[in-house]
Amino acid sequence: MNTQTPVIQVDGLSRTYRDVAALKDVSFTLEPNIICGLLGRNGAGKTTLMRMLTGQDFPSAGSARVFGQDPVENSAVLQQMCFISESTRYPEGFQARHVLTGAPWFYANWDAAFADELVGKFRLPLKREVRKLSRGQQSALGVIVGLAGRAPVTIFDEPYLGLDAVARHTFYDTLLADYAEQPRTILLSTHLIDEVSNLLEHVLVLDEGRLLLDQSADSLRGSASAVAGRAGDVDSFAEGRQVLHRDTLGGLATVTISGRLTSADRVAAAAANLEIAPVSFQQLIVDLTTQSTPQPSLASVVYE
Amino acid sequence: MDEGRPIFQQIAERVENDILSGALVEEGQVPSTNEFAMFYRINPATAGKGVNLLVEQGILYKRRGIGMFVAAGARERITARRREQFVLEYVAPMLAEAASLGIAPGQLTQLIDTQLIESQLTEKETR
Amino acid sequence: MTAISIAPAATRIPSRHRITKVMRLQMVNRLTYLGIPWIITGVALVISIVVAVLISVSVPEPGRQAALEGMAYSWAGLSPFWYLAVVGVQAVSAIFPFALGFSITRREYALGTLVTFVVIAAFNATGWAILTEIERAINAAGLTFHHFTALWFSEVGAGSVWLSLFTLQIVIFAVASAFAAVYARWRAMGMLVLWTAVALVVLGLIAFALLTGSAVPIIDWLMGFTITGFFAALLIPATLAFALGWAALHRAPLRG
Repeated sequence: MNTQTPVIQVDGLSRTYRDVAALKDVSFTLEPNIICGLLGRNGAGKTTLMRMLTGQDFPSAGSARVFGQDPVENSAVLQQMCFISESTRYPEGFQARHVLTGAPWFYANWDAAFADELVGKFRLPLKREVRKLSRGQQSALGVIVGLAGRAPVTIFDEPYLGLDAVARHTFYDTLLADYAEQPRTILLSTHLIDEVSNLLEHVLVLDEGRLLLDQSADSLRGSASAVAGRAGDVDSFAEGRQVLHRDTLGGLATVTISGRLTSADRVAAAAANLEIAPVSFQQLIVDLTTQSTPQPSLASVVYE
Repeated sequence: MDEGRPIFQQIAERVENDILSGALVEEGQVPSTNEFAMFYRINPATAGKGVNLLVEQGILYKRRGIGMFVAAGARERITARRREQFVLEYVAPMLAEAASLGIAPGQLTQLIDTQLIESQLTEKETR
Repeated sequence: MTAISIAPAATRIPSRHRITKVMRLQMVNRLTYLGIPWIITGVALVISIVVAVLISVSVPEPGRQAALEGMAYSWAGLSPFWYLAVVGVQAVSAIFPFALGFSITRREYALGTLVTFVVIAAFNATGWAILTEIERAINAAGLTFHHFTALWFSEVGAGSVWLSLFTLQIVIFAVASAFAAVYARWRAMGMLVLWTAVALVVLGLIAFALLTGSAVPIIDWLMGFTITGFFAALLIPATLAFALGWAALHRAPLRG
């Protein structure tokens, strides 16, 4: 299944604003028709990367290619893409209906009936100025355009800021149902990692402008474990392993260890009275991105 | 979903559980990959991987253009494999825990017997 | 299994159509381009009429005609033009980032916006020129009233009135959008450099005229233009401003 030409190909991509490096030498490829999560802390470079992919910003070095071509000023490529950004500022006086009227002029696959259905699902008021809508309603508008646009490459940047839990699950369910019917490439950045982790097939993690992880969601799940017990036992168990995080409480310690444990490891841990617990997807990303100095080598350590 | 293990394995296990419980019968049709994905709110490719795993193990089989079915003898195959796992996953840890609590092997078998009798009694009462 | 295949590529929309669609996007909110300029025109016209009535009632007969003629210097007919400068800025500052979000290229955006400006300017010029002709007819009928027939309008034909109204709007759109484009590309620093450059050019021209003693010939040269020629020539600086705007915009990143 992994023999297809990549839909997105990024090589040594860097972007520097004056003296601030927003992206540093990022390289990866994405297969077509997968749902990929772009994760990382605020300021990690997620939005910058997405803007490079959609020709909204220009690389300082390296290249970003979509369908094998440079997206900058490339109408043929851009027409296949839809970028829904949390930072979209709607023009003054624009109402939701103006946005939904304009969208089909630019997205050839636009499904008007689907858009109407979504307006109902998200209870979006159409005749109020977009700038006066709540954060959540503005997010809903973006989500509707992104889903109904059915662009072969759809990019969501923090698509559901301000959406309540009900609306978020409406988004997940609608996305999954629509994606199952009409597979397309979806790149999604979010803070709510645990909520979306099951939807993702692939994960990219950015930290301080560097690509920390580029691997399948399934290989990431269970690729780290939390080991707890007496500090001395824990440390001797952890010796020679990649420790992502360490907490102590009195004489007790908990360490997050990267890499899958073998059954021999489990037996050894049980013998040493250590408790082993799985590390959640979100916790793993948090541990990976809270290290004081990012370690690019981590990617290869966690990778199976 | 359990955080520790790949989702596709968990999907495969749930289908196996359904076969064991009789919710899915041999030669009966199973839901489509997309239906699994929607139901468990997971990526369709992941659901597909789980279903594929069962196909490789001969638990499920494909009928072209119709869908996925439970293979004949699937139940037996699952039971056999799970029995092997039972020793690893339940018996071995139980022995380790018993040892750390100072329960002698003789006491352990006695405990199991008592437990069995009790559960049989409660079963009779509830009938 | 999940049949993974490349989704059928979206049908492509020809570039020409996308430029027209940018124009439709610019005008999706009709209030901005058509509503407000004409509301301003209407309000200004009502004010002019009220003033004319007040003059007729309060100014005694001998000076009344002169006072009514004096309204010709009110420039009231040009009142919507200031608003158009705002429109020119917004067309870039608000619609440009929004258009990029709709997967539109900078080139499609720029051409579509240029066409929008031309269409709007032509539409407004036609409307105002017709009103000017109506007012001239009223004046010819002996009722002195000046709202549109101000400035040079009394001296030229309907065609030149239309041309002057058209090119003035184009100049305003061009300059306003060029400033907004420079801001979009270089932010505050760009504004600083642009304003300084404009000031230096103006000062330089004045200094040149004064120091070389060519002020009088230059003024004579300007006065030598016919009104029509002068307004037609305004399209040259407008083109330069558009060129500056495009130069800034074609590499403008989206931020914030």
